Amino acid sequence: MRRMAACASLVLLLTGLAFWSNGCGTGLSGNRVEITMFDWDNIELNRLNKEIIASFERTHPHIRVRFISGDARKRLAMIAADMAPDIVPLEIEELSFYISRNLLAPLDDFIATDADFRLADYFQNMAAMCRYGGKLYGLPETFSPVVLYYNKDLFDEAKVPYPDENWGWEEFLAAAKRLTRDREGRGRIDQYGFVTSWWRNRWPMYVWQNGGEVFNANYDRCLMDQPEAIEGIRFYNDLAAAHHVAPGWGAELEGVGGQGGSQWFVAGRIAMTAETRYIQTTFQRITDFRWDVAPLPKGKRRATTFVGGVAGISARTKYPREAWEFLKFRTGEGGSTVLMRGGRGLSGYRPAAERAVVHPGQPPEHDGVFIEAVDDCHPPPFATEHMRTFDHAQEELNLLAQGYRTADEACHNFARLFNEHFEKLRGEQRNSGEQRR
Amino acid sequence: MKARSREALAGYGFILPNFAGFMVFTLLPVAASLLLSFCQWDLLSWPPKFVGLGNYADLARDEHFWQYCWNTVFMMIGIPISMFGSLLLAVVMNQKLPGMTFFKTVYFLPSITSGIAIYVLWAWIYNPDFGLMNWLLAQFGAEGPRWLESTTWSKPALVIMGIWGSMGGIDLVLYLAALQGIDPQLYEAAEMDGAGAWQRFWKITWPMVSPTTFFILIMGIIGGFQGGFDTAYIMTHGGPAGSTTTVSYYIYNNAYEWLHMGYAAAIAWFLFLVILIVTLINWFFSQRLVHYE
Repeated sequence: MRRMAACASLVLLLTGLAFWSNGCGTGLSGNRVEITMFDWDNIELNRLNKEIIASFERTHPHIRVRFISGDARKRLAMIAADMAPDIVPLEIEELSFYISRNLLAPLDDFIATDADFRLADYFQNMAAMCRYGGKLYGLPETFSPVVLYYNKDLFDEAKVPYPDENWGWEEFLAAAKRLTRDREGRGRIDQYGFVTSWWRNRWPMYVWQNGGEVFNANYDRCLMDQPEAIEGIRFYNDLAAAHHVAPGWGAELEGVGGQGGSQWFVAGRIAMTAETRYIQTTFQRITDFRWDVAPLPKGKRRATTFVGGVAGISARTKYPREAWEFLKFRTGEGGSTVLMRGGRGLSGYRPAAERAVVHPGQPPEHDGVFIEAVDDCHPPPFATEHMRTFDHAQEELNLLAQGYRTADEACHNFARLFNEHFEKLRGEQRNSGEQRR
Repeated sequence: MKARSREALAGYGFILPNFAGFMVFTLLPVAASLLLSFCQWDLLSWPPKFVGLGNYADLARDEHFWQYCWNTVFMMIGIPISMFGSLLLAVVMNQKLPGMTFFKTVYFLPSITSGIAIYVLWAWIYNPDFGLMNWLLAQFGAEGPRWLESTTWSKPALVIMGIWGSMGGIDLVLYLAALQGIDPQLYEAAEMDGAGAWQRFWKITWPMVSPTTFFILIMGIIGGFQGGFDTAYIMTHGGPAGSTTTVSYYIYNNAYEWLHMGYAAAIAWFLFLVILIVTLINWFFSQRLVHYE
């Protein structure tokens, strides 16, 4: 019996150990407090994050930062289990979802009482996207606008002038036509002027450039069935379907990790591609040809989008002041300089980003194009709350790219799916309003 | 304490960890998912909002859901083909020929190889420009389709891969065991009565392995309804245009990508009911078609 009791205590002890949680924001001995920071798991990023933390802890000896890395599901599980990290990284499209569930702390009070901090040092367009209901909930971390990459050698060979800020859709299409060729004379095109991608972070640019919108400003009506949007989508689709200046459906899948035809660009088979700055870690390895970047051709107006994230503070943090100190450091001069060294996108902190795009002798020569493109950035037209509908609606565009839909049908179906979704949401809101009354 | 009750207590003590694990990690989540299927819940807000049968009503109206149901059923056409292949292989393997152990190992390999490795390999095989499959077709003068990138060919491509993976696996082993359990006297008697090879197969082998066939069929159908997640997750992301999204991948997307936990739970329970009904129907017909010795 005694042996059984001993076994039982051992089991209890082990269970206890297993469930012992190393909760966030632990109070340490003395005046030192511990805050937690989460970021995406990536060998290079982990190394940079540890470097940032070490340099922060040197200047802030009373704060210890515990670094947790993982994927979106781990972050979700931590927040759902009430173990949210004090510093939370978010994609821009997740912000409204997290704010509406009161998971992020507004930063305005910190900013108002912190004489060292200047919000004006951040890209204003990016910072504005972190503002909801008049309050700021995050600071831009690293991001990148989408610009036009081009192969200078192929342009020279075809005697086409390099793209510049005056390029419109017509010049772009004309150049793409001259850059599409059968190089090896085997009776099929083996060099394309451009490559299209139907990834959700690419096609909306052509809707905006044509003066259209994917959604209205309140995000409660889809405008994809409007003539400007349809025409923009048709132009983009026709590049492959009608003009054959871009490979048809499927090239996207052969690209690298959703990055479209970047590997075709590296192979010298694509003269132009629309990409973010993140791809430069791959393009730096190009030795066979010269390449550079230019603004995306403008349609009726100049417009691009971006990929990137922001960082915020958990509303549940026990140490908001310390969390703010770290957030400020990480997104500011100290952290940004380190992050930019890692060759990632642009830092949201403007001075560090501006320094990083100057690198004489190393391509791309016009890296500053990324900084200029920030003002033309539209926020991605998708948000976590509506992602299911977006993914369903996106299938319509994939069907268009495969030739199963016309641009008109695809855009109308896209709009119909979303407007039905919005109508359903309004119905639910009305019902819950009536229940409350 | 009596020795008997002490023994009983020790017995309960031994099953306690397993039982507790079952309660906490299986029964409780299953019960919770049933409750959740009547709620709207995004995992991060509390409490979940009760919507009654709302999720089930949405499911009935969800055009994508029915498309994914069709995908799931379509991909099950591989089950009878793979079963037939398994039986055929088992009959061959059951012959006393040299080198059979080697072939058994080769055919069983896909079952013990990591799924991810297999899917990556097949993604290469199906590559429309450099893949083995289209190269093979080109040898016969045929131009292969764009397989995983085409809404028409993506499902057949996954079916072919599925047949390759399951034909030589557990089903083959089960059939082999069943074949080896048949009394050789039956064949001897049939041979003396002048029965040919086909008659021996159709009148002896087929009915004698019918319980195994029934078992494999039921497990195949259950697996089929629940299947398609890993291939969609790794190879196709459910595309192109949702053509390889199955019900299980839709459950996953609803729960963890779009945070519609209640809706995901409703789909899961609908799937459970469908599997239950289909299994009961199978059971009903099996009374007539399955021969138990």
